[in-house]
Amino acid sequence: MSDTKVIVDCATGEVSTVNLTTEEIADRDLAAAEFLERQATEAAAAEALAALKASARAKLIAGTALTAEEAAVLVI
Amino acid sequence: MAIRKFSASSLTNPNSKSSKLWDQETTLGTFESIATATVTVAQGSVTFSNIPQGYTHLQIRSYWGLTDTGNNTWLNAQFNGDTGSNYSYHAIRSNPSGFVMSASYGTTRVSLGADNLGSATSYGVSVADILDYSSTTKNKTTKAFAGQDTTGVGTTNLWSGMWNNVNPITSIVIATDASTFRVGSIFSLYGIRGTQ
Repeated sequence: MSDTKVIVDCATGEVSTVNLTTEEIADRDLAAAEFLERQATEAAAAEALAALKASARAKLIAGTALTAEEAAVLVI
Repeated sequence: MAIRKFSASSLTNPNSKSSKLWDQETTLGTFESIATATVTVAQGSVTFSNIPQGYTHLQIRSYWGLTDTGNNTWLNAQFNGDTGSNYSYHAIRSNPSGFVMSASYGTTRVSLGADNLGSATSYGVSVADILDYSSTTKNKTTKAFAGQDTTGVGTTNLWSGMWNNVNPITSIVIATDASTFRVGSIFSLYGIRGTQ
């Protein structure tokens, strides 16, 4: 990742490129960690939902009883 | 009272019965360019500083790309250098397999858009409004519409956000949470006069 940033001074129109500060790099690293956590959480949720739907569809086709959770994912 | 009639004759004919063009209360929102940042070398973030306080709202128009394939990377903003857990957001995001709804309170930034492509060649667009940014009595709220597309896959997303702070916004840092802005990315800050 780039360790520089663009600053636009809206009062003067001056544009400068400077290095990120230690604090800004730490904040960026925090954002990256949050990103990885969020991505893992959302991927797990999507996978669980897909599995639930697949299970519900299979039971529907087979004519077997659905759980309340499986029914809920098919009927809103 | 709104504008009742506007015609060329209202301007050219002093005896026109409909010469009243403006009730002096209704104002139309106008957008004025404040500043634009164009990424010519890959950058970690973009900052707008010393933002003038003479507008009613702000709008950030972003045309952004990433240097890597950071799938589901978000476009974020922080105000006045506040990196604390003082932000919150709600979002509806589409992806090729459906929709994702999410919300979080006590985050360290507010989000204005999402990249869902894992593409290092496409660019996304976000239009984000920051309401009552110069108020000294209101926490700051944001709303954003964003999207991105690459050959049949992509994302469309809606965002709302809040910065739990009543101070006027004088600076904005825009960054992604897991990547770097690619050359060609453009961020424009507009001021909105009047009501919206």
